[in-house]
Amino acid sequence: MSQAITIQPDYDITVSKSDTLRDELLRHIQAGEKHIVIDFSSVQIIDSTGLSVLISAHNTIKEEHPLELVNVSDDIKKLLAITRLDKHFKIN
Amino acid sequence: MANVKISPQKNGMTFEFHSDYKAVDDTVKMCVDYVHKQKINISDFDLSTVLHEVLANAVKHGNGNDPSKKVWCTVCMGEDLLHIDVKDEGDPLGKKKITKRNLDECKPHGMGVHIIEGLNFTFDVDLDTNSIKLTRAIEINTN
Repeated sequence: MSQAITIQPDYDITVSKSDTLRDELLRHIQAGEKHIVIDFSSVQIIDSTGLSVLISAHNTIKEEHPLELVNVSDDIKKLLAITRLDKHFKIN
Repeated sequence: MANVKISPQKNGMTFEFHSDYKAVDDTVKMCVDYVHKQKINISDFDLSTVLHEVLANAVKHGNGNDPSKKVWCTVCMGEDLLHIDVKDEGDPLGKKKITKRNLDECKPHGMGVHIIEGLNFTFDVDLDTNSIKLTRAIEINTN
């Protein structure tokens, strides 16, 4: 299994910035990365557009490894629970 | 800051902007700052998240990302309710289909209403004014 790569967005993942994360994830997926970790330590807000970006990436790589989120705030964990994405992503 | 026009209302404020995602970010910050100053016990996260949902939806699905079209967001405080009213220049809301994702599926759409309701806002469509109306119970801190 390939080594994990970590992405650390330094912005809130809302509709105005979600394309930036989408492009970065796509670049890693096209390079063959199957274990992707997103470090949320600098992310305070994520909206449904941002969550959609995560879902699309997760659905592409999940057979190898679920999308992994680390350093997630309690507020964003609450949002992941509301949308039940906590059942799909690996959250640390 | 993007160009956001602010108009005082009775017990509230209206924020008006042309359809642009940067303006959504700026309007959310201005709305949260305004509500925060009213000493209302609502978390900045809950309010920011819900505002991002409804304002981005108005820009994208309401106005079709047409920068010539405007969005109006009115935030008002009642005695024990926070009211948020969002209006755009899109087609009448009655013709639009508001989708909710089956939460057991991992599909990238239909999460907005789940998020709004999950953060304890009620969601309603006012066909008379062609606007989205959100309400949430609040208490005003007197300290």
